[in-house]
Amino acid sequence: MRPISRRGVLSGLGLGVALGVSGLSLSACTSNDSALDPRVDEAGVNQVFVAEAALLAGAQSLSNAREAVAIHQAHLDALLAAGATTEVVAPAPITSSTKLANAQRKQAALCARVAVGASPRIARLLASIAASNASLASLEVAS
Amino acid sequence: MSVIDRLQLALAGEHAAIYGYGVVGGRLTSKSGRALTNLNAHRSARDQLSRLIISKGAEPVPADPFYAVDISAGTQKQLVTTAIAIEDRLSVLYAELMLENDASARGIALEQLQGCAVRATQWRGRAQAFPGLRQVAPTN
Repeated sequence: MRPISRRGVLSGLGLGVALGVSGLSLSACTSNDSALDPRVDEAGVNQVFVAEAALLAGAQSLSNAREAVAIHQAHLDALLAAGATTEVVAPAPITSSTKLANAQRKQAALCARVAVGASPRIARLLASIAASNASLASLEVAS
Repeated sequence: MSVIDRLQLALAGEHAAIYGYGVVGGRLTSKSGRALTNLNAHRSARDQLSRLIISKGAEPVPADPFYAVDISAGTQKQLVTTAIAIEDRLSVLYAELMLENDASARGIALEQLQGCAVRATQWRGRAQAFPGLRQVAPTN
């Protein structure tokens, strides 16, 4: 398993910015965001970021999960662009595609929970990442 | 744009999806069962959206009598491409519904965005990194 480095995570940072996520600061919000506490966003994004890093490490440790590796890497890039600040320590490996799919389902649920209370742009991003993880998990079921 | 406006857009999208799956499902020689399952999922989403719109004091938009569905080539591949397009377009509407600070609207958006993304993935055979978000290639 390769450890997750911030350099690795940062590769492709442009994508997150292109998605319309406030690239550098959570303070760059619309008027709709003003009633929300940015600390809630930061805590939620960090929580999702750590779980996503574990999924990337898990996918990297499997030989047949190349597509999942690319997708989880893209999720991490976007979360960083959205303001994730957590350092990631090498997570535990995932030993089978079934376990990876279960972890992706849990990540979809976590993203959805955090998204409900997040500011609009973060909510949209997390909803999309939730849907992506649910999709990846469904591929494992279908295979 | 208000939360009602976005809910109405999603509902209009569901009307179109139901029509589209009717066209596609009737012509698929294989996987027509999947198309029927998806059609029923969209009917359920339509009803869910209609109930929420009514609960907010508005009148749900009705379905149009006809929607343009391009099946001119008549191939199975084109039908699958159309099914994917239905799910992808709806994904964008549900992702944009997340921009509203409304718990009930977000609840539906989260559920239906996942549904659309999973169905699109089943048709494609591969997942997408950001369903519902408009993506452009990263700049170098």
